[in-house]
Amino acid sequence: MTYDKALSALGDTTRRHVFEAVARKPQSVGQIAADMPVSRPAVSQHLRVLSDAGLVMCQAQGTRRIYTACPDGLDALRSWLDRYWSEVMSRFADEVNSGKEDA
Amino acid sequence: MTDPIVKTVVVKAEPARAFDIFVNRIAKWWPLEGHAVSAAHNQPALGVTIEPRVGGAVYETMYDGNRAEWGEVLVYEEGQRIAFTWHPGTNTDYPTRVEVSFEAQNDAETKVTLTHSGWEVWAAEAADKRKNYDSGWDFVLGERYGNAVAN
Repeated sequence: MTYDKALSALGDTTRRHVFEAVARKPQSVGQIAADMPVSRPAVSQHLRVLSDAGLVMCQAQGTRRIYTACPDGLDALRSWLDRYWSEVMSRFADEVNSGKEDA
Repeated sequence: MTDPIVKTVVVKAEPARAFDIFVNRIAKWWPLEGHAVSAAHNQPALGVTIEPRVGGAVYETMYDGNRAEWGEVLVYEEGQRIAFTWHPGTNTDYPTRVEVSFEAQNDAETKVTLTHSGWEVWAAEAADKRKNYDSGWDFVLGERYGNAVAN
């Protein structure tokens, strides 16, 4: 699911830095790589993972491909986590309130 | 601007019992069918375990018997509070954090508060940096969800 992917994608430090870089300023793979101790192919790979997770998108500007952060990605992640924990706590409350474990 | 997710429920039990059910009987009530790594394989998990001590593991017993690490216990105060890192299904070096506190209320009730934090810094970062060309972003993450989360 997309949201697991988003959480997982941002769990990697280098990938998070790549995300932060494009969130700060839309830029190309080359620009991102120039500011980080990471090769261009590695940056491309991280961007692919972030893109699959719905966190960044790519726009063509002439012959260049510019990456930008995708606001909907984190928005969706937040909604998903919110629902996730609601369900967990609701199931927990049902279990406690049922008193089943005393039987 | 961007807050952690906070969920509160009040249950009919003393804190000690509520804590015990949360930690030691988690496999009985956790939504194993959807809220697990196994769900990615369209299978329910077999169980979830919290090892009840600081440094203990939080893990899922997957549908095939393999173990998926979810996190590590950071705080263990029996009957009061437990906190653990949270990175289900991923080998992450930047885990998020879940804390659950148990607070006595009147009439043998306990207020249980779950806080999931650590992930929201990404949103804050993105929101802050994007402000100039996407003003709606702040509002969406700040105002709209700030209210929803309060429930």
